[in-house]
Amino acid sequence: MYRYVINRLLWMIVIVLLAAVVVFTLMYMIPGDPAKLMLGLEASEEVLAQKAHQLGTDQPYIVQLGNYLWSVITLNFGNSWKYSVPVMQELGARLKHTIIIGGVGMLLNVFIGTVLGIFAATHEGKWQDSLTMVIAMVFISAPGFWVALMAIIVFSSYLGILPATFILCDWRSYVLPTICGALGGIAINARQSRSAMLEVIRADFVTTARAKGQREGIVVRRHMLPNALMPIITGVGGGLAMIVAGSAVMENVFSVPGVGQYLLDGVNQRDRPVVCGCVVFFAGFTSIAILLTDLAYAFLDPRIKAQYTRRKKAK
Amino acid sequence: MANQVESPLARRKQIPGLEFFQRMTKSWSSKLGFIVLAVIVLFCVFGPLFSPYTVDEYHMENMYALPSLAHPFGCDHMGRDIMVRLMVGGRYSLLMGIIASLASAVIGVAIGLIAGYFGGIVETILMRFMDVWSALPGMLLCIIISSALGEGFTQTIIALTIGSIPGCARMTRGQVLAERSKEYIEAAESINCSKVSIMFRHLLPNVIQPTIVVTTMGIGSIINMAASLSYIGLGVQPPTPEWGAMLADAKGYIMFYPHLMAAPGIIIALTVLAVNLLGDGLRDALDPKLRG
Amino acid sequence: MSENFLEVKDLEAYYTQGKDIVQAVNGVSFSMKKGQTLGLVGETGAGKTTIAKAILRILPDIAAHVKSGKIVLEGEDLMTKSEDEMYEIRGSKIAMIFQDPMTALNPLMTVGDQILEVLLLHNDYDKKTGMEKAGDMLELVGIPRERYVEYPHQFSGGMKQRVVIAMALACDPELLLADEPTTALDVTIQAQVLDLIRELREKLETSMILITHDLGVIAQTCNLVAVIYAGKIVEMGTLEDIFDHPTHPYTKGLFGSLPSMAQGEKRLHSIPGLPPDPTHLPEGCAFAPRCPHATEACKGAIVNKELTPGHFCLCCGV
Repeated sequence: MYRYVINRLLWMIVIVLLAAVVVFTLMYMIPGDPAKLMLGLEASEEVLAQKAHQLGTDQPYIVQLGNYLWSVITLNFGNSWKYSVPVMQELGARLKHTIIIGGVGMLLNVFIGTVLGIFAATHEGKWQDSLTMVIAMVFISAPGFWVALMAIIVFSSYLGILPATFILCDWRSYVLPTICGALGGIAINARQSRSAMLEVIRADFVTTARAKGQREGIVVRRHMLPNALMPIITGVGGGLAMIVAGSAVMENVFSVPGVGQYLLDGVNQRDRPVVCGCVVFFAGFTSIAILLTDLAYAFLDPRIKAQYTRRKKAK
Repeated sequence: MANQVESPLARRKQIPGLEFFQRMTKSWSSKLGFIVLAVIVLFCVFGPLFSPYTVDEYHMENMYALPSLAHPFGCDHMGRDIMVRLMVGGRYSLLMGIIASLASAVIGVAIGLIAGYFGGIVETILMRFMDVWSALPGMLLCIIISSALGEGFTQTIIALTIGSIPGCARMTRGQVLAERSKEYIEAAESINCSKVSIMFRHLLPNVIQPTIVVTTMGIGSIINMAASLSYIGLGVQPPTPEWGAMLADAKGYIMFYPHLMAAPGIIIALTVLAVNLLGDGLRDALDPKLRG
Repeated sequence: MSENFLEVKDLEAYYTQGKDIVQAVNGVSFSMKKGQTLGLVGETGAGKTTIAKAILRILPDIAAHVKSGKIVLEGEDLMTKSEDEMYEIRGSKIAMIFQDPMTALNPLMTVGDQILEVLLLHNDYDKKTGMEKAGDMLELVGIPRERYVEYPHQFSGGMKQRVVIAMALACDPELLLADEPTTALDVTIQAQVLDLIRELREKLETSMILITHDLGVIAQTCNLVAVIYAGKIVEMGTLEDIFDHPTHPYTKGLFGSLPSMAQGEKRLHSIPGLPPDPTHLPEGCAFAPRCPHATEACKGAIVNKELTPGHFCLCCGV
């Protein structure tokens, strides 16, 4: 089991590095001289050459890539071309906002989504079920950023109770981005939890437990929930990926100075170190989330656990 | 049980298309989805032909006009009719959704089939490649690819396609792994069918069903992603009247003219909703086991 | 004569399936004495499992309803018991063995713990004694005690069915409901499991209702036989009554469809047609559309006739 975890961790690092290579290459292919981009069109050839040398962009692709990978391994993503600030420093400062919005969003997703799903499943076919599922379907279908804009209109323009942009930086500024960012994931999770729970409600082993004379409450807690949790965990992993992906758009809507907004700024300004730094951050974040989901799975389900132990023995 | 040797496809051929369609739209929700989608498609395809306005025609006196008989959805910040822009923009949005989702399905299924059927080193390489590919959630990948490729219709479709491939490949491979050990594949191998023939004639029809469902639903999420891309300034750009781009246009006037946001957002949500409802119906029709 | 141990009277149950109502059980009555084994025979979908689940009162609330009827166990009507009283009865007085051992066990619990669960529910053991007893039960059904900590996926089908049996017998039930306990198993394992059930039943003096569509299993195990068609008992009697003097055309048809080596027949007889649609049962005798002896009288009310003491037949042609 431990060896499996270590294998997965190593593989995760490889994946993040490879993702960095891919993104670096993509950004390298963007036409335009970075030196010119930084110094403006009026700069003389001489100054441009000097700048290019300073940035290292006059070197061949492979050397640049090597340098870049080394900077990723040493967790120093270089300096922003545009602002000459170390990317790592900027990431550190912005991390807080993204983590708060993503983390709280995740918790909301897990708890509200799962509870709604179980609620709908236990009321299958009744109006509570239909209502929950209709609402979930609406939030799955409506684009997240549009829902966020509507929330701004309602809560900021008309009611004036929550700020539309991240100016004050107090807790109230986090409310809208967090909730709007989590809504889509909550809706998806609710749907998945419902079908997971329905499958378990009909399972034979639940009838077995009832036939033993087990009380209904314990049947739900001991037999239904643990089995329904399996697919729900998968959904949670997917939900996290969605929140991470959505964070760029959400931060853009609410002007949150987080990592997602940093990435968009970098993309718009063709600022390669910034884009690559943010991508490595997001890739690492997603990989860790997926790893944790898989481990939780293996921890909870003896069938999966057995596979891993067997794999270990085979090696 | 005895039926397992015979490829399940043989049975499916007996079902005529009409009956399948009826099964697909059996529930009221998928009927609703079909009707809404049909109306939206007709609206986008034929609407502009009957509209008295064109996409770029602006009248300064109509700036920010509220909905009226002449302009059912009002006018935008340049006094352009929102309805005709929605219709034309819908062509872009729907096309992007359909093309990107089909393209990613074709490529993803091919990768998944090859990985799942050949196994071994081929599978390892392909699936590891997919791991790297999907280390970045689809939306972020789209952001980066469309920034590398630049803005525009074709570029956005490519970005959206690439972002959706790994999911499709993964799912197909999973299906292939489940089917590969079944007896009808052994039967095909025992009569010396070529590998290509086994993959496309025998495996593909039996693993394609979940992919069809996911691809259908994928149209919805891709329309959503495309809108998000245009909204944050990538993808299809104003003045092209793509739905997301229209929202990006309206963003600047959100505090004073919030009604500009309503129509494009609602039509995106309605389209995606209709596609999802139809996808649900499709899933029920294809696989009665999944019927919830 | 002692009083009947179990008496089921006019049991009616139906399922709702969308707008349709599936009439699964339509007025079933039977009785049995202590220590007897009743075999319920019939085609798939005839309502056998519903009868068993109705006795335990574990039909799913959402879809299934017991419309009317009495289920009297040792003089007490189970239908009038509160849910709390039923918790005490399920698993201890009445236990059930399920059809598919593959899905009847919780995949996330060790088999030992699943047996322990039922033991702790109905006895005042502390956990240690309970685990000891659960180990005993495993050994009783021929599984080494050491496998207590293993999970269902580590067992084969036959072994899982043994675990299910151990679970059912753990609290010495007075009535055992065995719902096709061998259908999902290989033929060789079937014999083992049947022997095991018979052996344990004799040792523990348990009464049993065995549900099956396999006449061979009935012949090996039961004293009483009830033949079910479309939710009704069409013929009931002792094993000898049914096997030596089958009277109802459906029962005769069932025996006709068995392969017979002695007569050297080349072809099996089958009963023409299909079981009726349970959402729209025909008037009168449900078997009439398939019956070779059907007459106009079959569309009217059918009375249950007692041919010899204890041998009943529901047919107007007799």
